[in-house]
Amino acid sequence: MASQVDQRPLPDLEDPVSSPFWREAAEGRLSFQQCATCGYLRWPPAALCPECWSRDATWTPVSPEGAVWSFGVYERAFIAAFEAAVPYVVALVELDAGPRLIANVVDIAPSEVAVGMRVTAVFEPFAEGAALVNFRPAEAA
Amino acid sequence: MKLGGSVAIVAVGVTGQGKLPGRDGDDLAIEALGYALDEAQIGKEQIDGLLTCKAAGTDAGIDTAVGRKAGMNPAFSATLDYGTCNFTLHLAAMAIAMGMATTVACLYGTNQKTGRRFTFTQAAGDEGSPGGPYGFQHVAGPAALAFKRHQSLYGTTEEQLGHVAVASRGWAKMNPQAIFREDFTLEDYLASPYLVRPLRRPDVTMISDGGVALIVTSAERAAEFPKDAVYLLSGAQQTGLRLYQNDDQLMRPWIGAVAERVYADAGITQSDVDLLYIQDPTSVWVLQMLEWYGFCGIGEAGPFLESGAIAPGGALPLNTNGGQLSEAYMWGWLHIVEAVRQLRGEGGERQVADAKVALYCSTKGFEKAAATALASEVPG
Repeated sequence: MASQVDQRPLPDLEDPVSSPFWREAAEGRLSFQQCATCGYLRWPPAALCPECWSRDATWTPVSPEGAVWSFGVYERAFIAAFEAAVPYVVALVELDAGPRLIANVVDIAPSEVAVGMRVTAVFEPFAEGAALVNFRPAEAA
Repeated sequence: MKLGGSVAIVAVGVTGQGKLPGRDGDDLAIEALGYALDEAQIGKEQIDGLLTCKAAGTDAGIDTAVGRKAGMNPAFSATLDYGTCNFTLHLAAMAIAMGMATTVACLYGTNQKTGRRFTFTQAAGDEGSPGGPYGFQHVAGPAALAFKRHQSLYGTTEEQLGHVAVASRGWAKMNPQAIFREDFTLEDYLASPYLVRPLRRPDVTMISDGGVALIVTSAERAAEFPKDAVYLLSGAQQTGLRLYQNDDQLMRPWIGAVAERVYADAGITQSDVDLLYIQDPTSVWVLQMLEWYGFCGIGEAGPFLESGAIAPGGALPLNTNGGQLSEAYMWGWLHIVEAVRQLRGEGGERQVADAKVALYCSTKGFEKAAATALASEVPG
């Protein structure tokens, strides 16, 4: 039996603050809480706007496009769940909409990924009605 | 924080380092305090301030528990949730300056190696953006992103970064306390396997057990202790608590604010620094802080490292203990111990001649940065 540390950590879908992010992703939407007072997009999900401290927000879809700020290629898995995935790419993606997300870059050889590369969100289901957000190279304009 | 030499470190204590089975962190911290008290030639009842530092992933380092176990009722005690010693040292200086205590023991102890409580498998960035589901584990992850960005912006090479681990080993070979003392060349570095490309195993700290203690007091009292005092000139901090809400967070540009303050408050510049200590959970921390503290220009750390500046015999003695890459992983605390030993002239084979001013720079992950300027003499 796999120990807890061997299993892939997955988002807590019972968390009322953050679970809509993963639920929206399952519908093919990249959505963030947009502050009803100042318009700021919260990331990670939060009960309070870090800009103006308003509690009111609406989950709002944004453009799924952005750029790779930087990335690393995991040549070793630190937990067993990722052993089959090695080598895999983890990137910090700066969305055109503002938020910066940690995610995998997929559908491309790790050696082809580059800083500044344009990417678009893809959604990876992990539970009924919930998906993770990854990125793949954007189609050339 | 301008200190002007008003506060001093008058004793240090260090336990054995490495694998210490059967010992817990508090036990090790108290053992280290025993050595520091011996060096100071005082008893534990003369300690009226106790500052402990929680050891990551363990239950150790809570002031109330350490005081009970060590049989101490100091006037003032507190726990810091995070290490690297700078933060503790600054709190000690504030407590002394404000009259909360006269003689403060700062303690750290951990059994993170044999206790297997701290394995670096934790997600590397869940607070800023959930990383665990994407396999973003280990400090090597964010450090790799930071270095890759540096490479992309400035053309920095893996070989240039390799000089950090190689120079650390060069110093460690002269340090009997260091755990890793085998020969280690740039060729060895380049032949090492990647952990998270572009970082290799030697770019990342070891995990080890041990304890460290410092005794801090006012400059007036310092003369009563047998060892030469090491004086604090200044201390400064800056946070980046908003994490990825900040631009370029993994480059930690806000460290530059610490540099400005620590030099201004000490009345010194980079050129006055004889000894530089940079807490180094990864080699990338050294690269970044060489730039933010002005020892080379922004983006120029690669050529600077390649020049051999930080190797033994180079222009800038850096981590003369071997740092966390080669000496031991005491969350930065041994960097301060080494600064004290060097400023006292107790560096043995690795002693830097005429060293009078040291700068110790550290961070708490991607959330906080701090620095302390120390000197062997009170400024005139």
